[in-house]
Amino acid sequence: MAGRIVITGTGMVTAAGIGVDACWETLCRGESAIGPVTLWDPTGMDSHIAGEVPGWPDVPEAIGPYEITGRPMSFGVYAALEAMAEAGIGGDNDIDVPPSRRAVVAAGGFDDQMLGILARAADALTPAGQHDFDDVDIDALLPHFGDVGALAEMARYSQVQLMQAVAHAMKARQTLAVSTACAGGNTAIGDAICMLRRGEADVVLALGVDTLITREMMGGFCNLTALSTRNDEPARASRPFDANRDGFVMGEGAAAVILEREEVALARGATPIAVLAGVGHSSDAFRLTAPHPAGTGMALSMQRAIDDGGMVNTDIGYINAHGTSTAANDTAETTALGLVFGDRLPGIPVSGTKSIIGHLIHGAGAVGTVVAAKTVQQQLVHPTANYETPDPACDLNIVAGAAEKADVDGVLVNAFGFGGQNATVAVRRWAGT
Amino acid sequence: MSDRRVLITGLSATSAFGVGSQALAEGLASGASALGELADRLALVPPGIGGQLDLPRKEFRNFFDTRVLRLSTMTRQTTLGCIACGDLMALVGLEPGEGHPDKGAYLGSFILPPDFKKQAIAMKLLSHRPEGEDTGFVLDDARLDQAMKKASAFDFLRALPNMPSSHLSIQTGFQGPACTYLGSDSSGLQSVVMAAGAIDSSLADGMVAGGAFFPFQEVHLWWQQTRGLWTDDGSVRPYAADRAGTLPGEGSALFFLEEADAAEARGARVWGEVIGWAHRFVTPGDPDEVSVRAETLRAALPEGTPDWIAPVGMGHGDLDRMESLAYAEAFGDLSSTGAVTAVPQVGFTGPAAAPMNLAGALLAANGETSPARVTVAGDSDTSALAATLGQTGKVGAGSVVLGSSFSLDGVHAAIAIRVLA
Repeated sequence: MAGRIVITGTGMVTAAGIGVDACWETLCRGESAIGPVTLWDPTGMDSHIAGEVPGWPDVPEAIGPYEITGRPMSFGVYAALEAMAEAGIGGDNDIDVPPSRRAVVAAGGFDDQMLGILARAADALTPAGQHDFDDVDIDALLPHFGDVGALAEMARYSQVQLMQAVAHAMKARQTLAVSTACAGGNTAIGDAICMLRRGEADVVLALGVDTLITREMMGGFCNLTALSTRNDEPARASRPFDANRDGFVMGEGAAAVILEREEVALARGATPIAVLAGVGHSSDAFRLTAPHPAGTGMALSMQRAIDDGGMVNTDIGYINAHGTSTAANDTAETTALGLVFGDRLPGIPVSGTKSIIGHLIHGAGAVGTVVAAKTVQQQLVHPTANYETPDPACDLNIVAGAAEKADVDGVLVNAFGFGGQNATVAVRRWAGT
Repeated sequence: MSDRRVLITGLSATSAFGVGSQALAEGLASGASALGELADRLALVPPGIGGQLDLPRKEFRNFFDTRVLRLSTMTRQTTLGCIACGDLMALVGLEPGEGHPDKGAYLGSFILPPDFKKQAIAMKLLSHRPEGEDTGFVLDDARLDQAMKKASAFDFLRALPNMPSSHLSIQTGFQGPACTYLGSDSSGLQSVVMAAGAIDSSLADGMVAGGAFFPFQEVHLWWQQTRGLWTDDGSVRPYAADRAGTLPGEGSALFFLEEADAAEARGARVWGEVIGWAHRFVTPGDPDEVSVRAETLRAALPEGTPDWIAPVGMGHGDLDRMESLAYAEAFGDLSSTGAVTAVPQVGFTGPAAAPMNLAGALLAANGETSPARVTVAGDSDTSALAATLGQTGKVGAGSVVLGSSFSLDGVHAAIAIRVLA
């Protein structure tokens, strides 16, 4: 089914703020939103810093039968409802699209409640007066799972519960849950584009969310030595492409976009924010723990997005980089950008959103896509925080210090997942039909 | 759909039947149960019975390079996916490695809690009752450094939800799209649907896609017990009036989907052509639960009646009822339709179940197996599908196979495939 795909709604919750406008203002000021972990005491870990969402978003207590509890549900629902409100979907003046032609595609990780479940079983086993669980026999825990109610809680949050709550709010009768780790948000957007182009849906909400500032996940990334340990200077810790970068900083939050075919959006009176021109997917097919150093998979992803959007490389005027602030990613991404853009690369502004809000993992690509939509709408490129000492291995035109006005038509949003899964989205300015 | 035709040019499966399409074909034809009693700690949680693949670790290397894909980085469900994928690559005649920029890998799986014993040890270190309290617990972060030492980086890697498909792309060398579909027991069939869509959308010319599942983790089994999945009488009886629930099984089922010109150019064995697909969602408990299921089936096969169907057939009271009513609503008369489900014999393999049943139905429609037929006494709601388990569908060119998956979470998928001459 021919026709352009447009973005008609956006939503976002990050450490930079609650809501797209709040986030965008912080990003354009270039102010780091990274601080000490406050959700629990991280003293025993190598990394004590993260991009925590400030405050709690205003969301309903429930959507239909779905109780909205916990950080991932709350952030995801807020971003989704914000995007729907901007697009004019839902509520009393809902659009005239049947439920079977509405879809939700969500990318998310998981909220590991295993420790809590086990502890509750141990609590049921342990005599009054005893204060630690060291004596609990592991096998003896098992019969108590049926008694403690913790398993019912386990079912209350999952990526599916979030996706279904959003689908319920949107009256959508199609759902997909994807995981490509850090590329997840863009993978969700890519699947949404294809569903619209194939005529399987008329309106799709694509969502990326993660809240991995948890003991288990930060501990895991610490074990992999992937996180920054610049604990004394949280605001200076996330520094993509800077020579003194030492790892990424965990973030949390969600971002959502509403996608429609342009003719459908215009027919119902919606005003597109930007064109979702194309998507590129690729796999490094190399290693689980490192990107291909030659950047071949990343370059494939970018070139495919440009080609899919019916664009040429000179159409790209800004790159929202994956830019994790790890040694391996930033050099491989630079190499890949060189493969795609060659001699033109120094003239293309690049910024790294993770320098300000940390890494949202499954939410990262979706955040980048919302940022790209704002960029082409406002013709403003947000700066990269902490870009102080250029790394010769990352010889890019990094926008640093302050936001820059720019004449930007096309934007590439890179998202490269742990395990070598890559997804790039191409966004273009919408300037009427 | 575009004018690009999508063919199925390979299929494989792992289950309690064994590895490969031949094992699946023989198992279905035998009608014998491959379920057995679970041992050790798994015997301490319900249901105590399940379908496990009996394959020594040393034989894994027959299916993938264990120097490239380290078992220490793989969950059992990832391993099962890679075993089926290795078998599939050999069948299709594709060499792993570079040179596959136009091929990709989608896998439906489940987010499973990490290793039980290690987590329990970490919990014992971290958890304490609050001072002055006789019940309840707090997580004591002062012991965080000790607890984290109990879990290795590999434990963490294994738990990442995208890892199953990431392993497949590394195993095959496929540089096209790769994604893990999650979130429900329909994710395996959704991955096949999305793979067909990826080829239709020109994202790839070839895709490995299917589902993989490993249910034998203590917390997971208990969780499903609280959701009412398991029977306590040791047998799974789909659509029977006295059905009492299902039993767990591990396994994987993968297809190779290929753009028609590419398949024909290399003289591929063709199992069928994908002619339609759909997925739908409905909130569990919604009054439209049955009609949305029927709509899913009809969206995948808008005209005619399938010759073979691959329903889930869990033996679950409500799910079987709604599944059977949906088929009856969608197609009416199913008196010439045969059904294939491996669930009673190998257990419910979660996201792998629907692809495995579809593989069985495709084998039957191509005359590669004659699934054992059984007489099932259904009730008034399940009679339509109960009858199909005793019937045989058309075999050979023109036979239409419809695979479907209806999950407890309300996520549903269907795909229609026509056998070619």
